[in-house]
Amino acid sequence: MSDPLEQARWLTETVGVRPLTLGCIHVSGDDARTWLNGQITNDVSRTSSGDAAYAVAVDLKGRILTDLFALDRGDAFDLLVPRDRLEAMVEHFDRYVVMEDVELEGREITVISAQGPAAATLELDGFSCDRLGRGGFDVIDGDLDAIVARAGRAGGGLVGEEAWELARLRAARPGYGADFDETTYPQEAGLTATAVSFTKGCYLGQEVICMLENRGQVRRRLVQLEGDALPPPGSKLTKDGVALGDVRSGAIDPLDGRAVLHAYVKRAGWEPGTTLDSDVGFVTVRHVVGSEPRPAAP
Amino acid sequence: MISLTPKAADKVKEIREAEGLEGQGLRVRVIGGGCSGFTYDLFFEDETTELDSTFESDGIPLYVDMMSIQYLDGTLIDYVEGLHGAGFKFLNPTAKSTCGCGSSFSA
Repeated sequence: MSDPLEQARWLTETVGVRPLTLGCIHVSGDDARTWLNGQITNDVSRTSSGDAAYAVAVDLKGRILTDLFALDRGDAFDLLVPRDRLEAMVEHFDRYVVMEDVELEGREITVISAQGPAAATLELDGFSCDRLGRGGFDVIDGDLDAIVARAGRAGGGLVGEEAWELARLRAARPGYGADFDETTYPQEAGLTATAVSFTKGCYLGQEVICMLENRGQVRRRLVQLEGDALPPPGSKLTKDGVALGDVRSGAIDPLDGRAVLHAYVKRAGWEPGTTLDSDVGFVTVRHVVGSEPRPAAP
Repeated sequence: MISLTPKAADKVKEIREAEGLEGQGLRVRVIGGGCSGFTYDLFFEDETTELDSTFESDGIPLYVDMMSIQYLDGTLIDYVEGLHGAGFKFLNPTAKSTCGCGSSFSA
């Protein structure tokens, strides 16, 4: 396998392929579409067979339970969730099936994910799932070797976790577990543009999400920062001795040897260009996650 | 048991007559969704199953399925009119909280 720097370049400039072990919740029954639309933040009321919608499921207080891709299969949906959220999300969703004609079935699956600007040229029989901010497709029950071969002809290839994580951080894409969890609101994690519809109508937790959006009361935002050294996850970030943030995830970018990291930072420190102090030196806010324009490719 | 206030019953009769559904009962159920997780649903129906709980309130037959009754037992349905609009209001002792518009609740 090539080195992570080359693989990260594929994910940014051509296409990188990686098998992902995920949880899959199959939602079927006559009421599947209307019921699911009342459970997640994005609109699946008018998607068509073959479409995919990125969304989050939130609790009553608007905090994120998981992110997911809802794959429209015409008369049913497959919800792709992080593997470690499968059992909890089946249990959560099942609680809100009363007498509707809805069946839920959870299983672990392997998805072949092709990510990068050239992913569309592979003409894969899959769903459009942009996982790293540069376009991408997920193939269920796909042939890994065949897809990697296609990627190779498009100037890409098989990538590992290290390159995937680097590409995610460079693109300022929030990751479940690393950057957001059950303590986070979608607005804090910068997920509203990609995962939330404000026109779809009611869903579980919608009232809190809308109030938060309309009143603009988010106290912290996930930001992308850069620095000479990498403060580990959990490190505090300060400005003039005042604690303003904490680090969530990061990596050293082998391209320039500098650290690229994600951290939650309070309003007083989240403006791009703001320099904050950490235990290993200064870091500078480069981008507020979820805002435009998106970070350019390195 | 669930019941209607006299005002709600009058409104139900008015709607039922306007829609030409005289003699039909009111199906009251709970469905998943809404800001608080569970949403109320009302519609006219003339068929029941042996698993339904059936009640009568101010001359209106009320039908509730076996799952929904767990969330609705003791509920009083009122009809309210105000500057912000009009509609049926559910006074549900099972509800832990209700969303702003009152159409959904948590349990």
